[in-house]
Amino acid sequence: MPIYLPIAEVSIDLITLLAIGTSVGILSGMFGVGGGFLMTPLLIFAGIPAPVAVASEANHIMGSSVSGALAYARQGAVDYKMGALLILGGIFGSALGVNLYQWLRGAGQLDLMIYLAYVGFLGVIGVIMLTESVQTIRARRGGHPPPLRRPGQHMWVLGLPLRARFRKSRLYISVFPPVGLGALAGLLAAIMGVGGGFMMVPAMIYLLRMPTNIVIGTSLFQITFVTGFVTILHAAQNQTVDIFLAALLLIGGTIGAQIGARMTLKLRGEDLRALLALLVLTVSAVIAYGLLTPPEELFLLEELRR
Amino acid sequence: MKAMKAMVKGGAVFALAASLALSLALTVAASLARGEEGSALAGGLSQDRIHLRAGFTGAELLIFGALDQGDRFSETSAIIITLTGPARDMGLWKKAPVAGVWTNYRWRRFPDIPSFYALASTRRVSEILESAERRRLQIGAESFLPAPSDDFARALLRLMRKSGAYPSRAEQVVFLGQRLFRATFHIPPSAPLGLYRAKIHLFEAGRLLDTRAFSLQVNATGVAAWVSHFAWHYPLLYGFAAALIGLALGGAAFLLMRRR
Repeated sequence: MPIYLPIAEVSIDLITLLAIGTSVGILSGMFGVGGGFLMTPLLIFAGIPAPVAVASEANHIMGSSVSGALAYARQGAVDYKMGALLILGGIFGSALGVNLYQWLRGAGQLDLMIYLAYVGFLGVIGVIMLTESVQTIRARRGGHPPPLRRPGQHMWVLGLPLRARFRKSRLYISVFPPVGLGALAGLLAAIMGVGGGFMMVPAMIYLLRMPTNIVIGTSLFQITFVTGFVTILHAAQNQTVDIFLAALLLIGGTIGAQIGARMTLKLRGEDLRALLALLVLTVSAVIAYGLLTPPEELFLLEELRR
Repeated sequence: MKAMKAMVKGGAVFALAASLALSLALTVAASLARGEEGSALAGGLSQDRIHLRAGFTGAELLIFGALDQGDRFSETSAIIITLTGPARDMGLWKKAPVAGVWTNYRWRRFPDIPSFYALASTRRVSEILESAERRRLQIGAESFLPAPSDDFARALLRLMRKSGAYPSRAEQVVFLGQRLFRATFHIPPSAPLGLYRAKIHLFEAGRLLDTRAFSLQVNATGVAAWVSHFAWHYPLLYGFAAALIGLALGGAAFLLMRRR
């Protein structure tokens, strides 16, 4: 049953779209990730123009983070002060990203930029995750206990001026690292249509040294606002947010997340991470292959705005 | 009204006209009434406003006309009907490998290209007119492209045909008797919106005898059209609406999960 997406300007099968939403929802429920980095490539593979896939996915991520953020907020597992600084940075980063997106689009290089960003980020993250999980699995098989993390030195950036006290995180650090981190997440949200949780969560744990129990809640709090801001900016500046698409993905994703959350119990954490790493590397390889093979259609027609 | 009287007198012609719908006949009469005195040609459209619904089948447009009584449609005569959408500026990218990665490399601008172009004729257009004459009269989609044709111009034409903006098959102009003729055009649901122009040309031995032009407004209808309009005309408001919908659906999901 085809449905016409008014902004993407393509007709796409409703069942396909819901299936994409549900399966990514299952994965995000299983792995505890937002799933934007899988959703955007899947939408592009399904025939949605890359710029629309990115901007609409930001809208979808925003909706899917709301429920998580609310749940963590209810448990008191959100550092609002830290979150506010991350959002402040996110506003700068996403404004920069949306303008870069617009400029690249005018120069005809936006699709390439999106693909390259995906190949690069998914490749790096996939390799890191695979290495880490394989090491853990080997240690388990060999009967060795997994190596404990040694408390490393504080990064010098934390000691920059303009220090502030973060009570919830039990930290006294400079405001620059959270703002910078937020800016990077905002940039990624605008150009890749991802929440950036896959990068923010490790960065908050290992770089900012926040307590693990409030990291996910704070990250979701930040993602909700930043992707909301990205949605508004993309709609206002580039007219590439498809609300039909975002709404359908949200419906599919909500169902999927429910299923996924129940499936997670049957697998060990490191096995799950190894599977996710393989999935991430596969998506990266498929996009890279597409960039390197001669396209069937050499020409691309666009209507110019007068 | 003189032209209309002429039509009533032509009893055979009128009998055939009865085979068309009544509304159509009335429109013919109205168009004929508008026709100038001494003109060889009259005609009209089945409707002057079309509402397209995205994702559906599109619309049919009937363009019809009549020759004046004095004229005989002979073997050397020909009729060409064109339907042209609003002009747009188009950009065309050609990809090339840069350091092994395929990307948009060369670009060309094509100003004032019809966003839609369909054609109907009594015979093959190439049999009716020389190519220079086609270009002068802007008959055939090729006539809008800069000459000489190169790979960019050919690609533009091919992509416009592929998208359905330039239907590649020419429609047939069908005669109903000796003076009444008609052609049916299919307007695809993806057709660009705006003011279209239909033009009937009458040729005699490769020479243009007369033309009649009509305009047609193509609009969009339905929820998708409304959303698209909203997104393009109130982009900031649309952005807030998109964020609110995300918030509402996400909040609803939270409430549903909590109830369990």
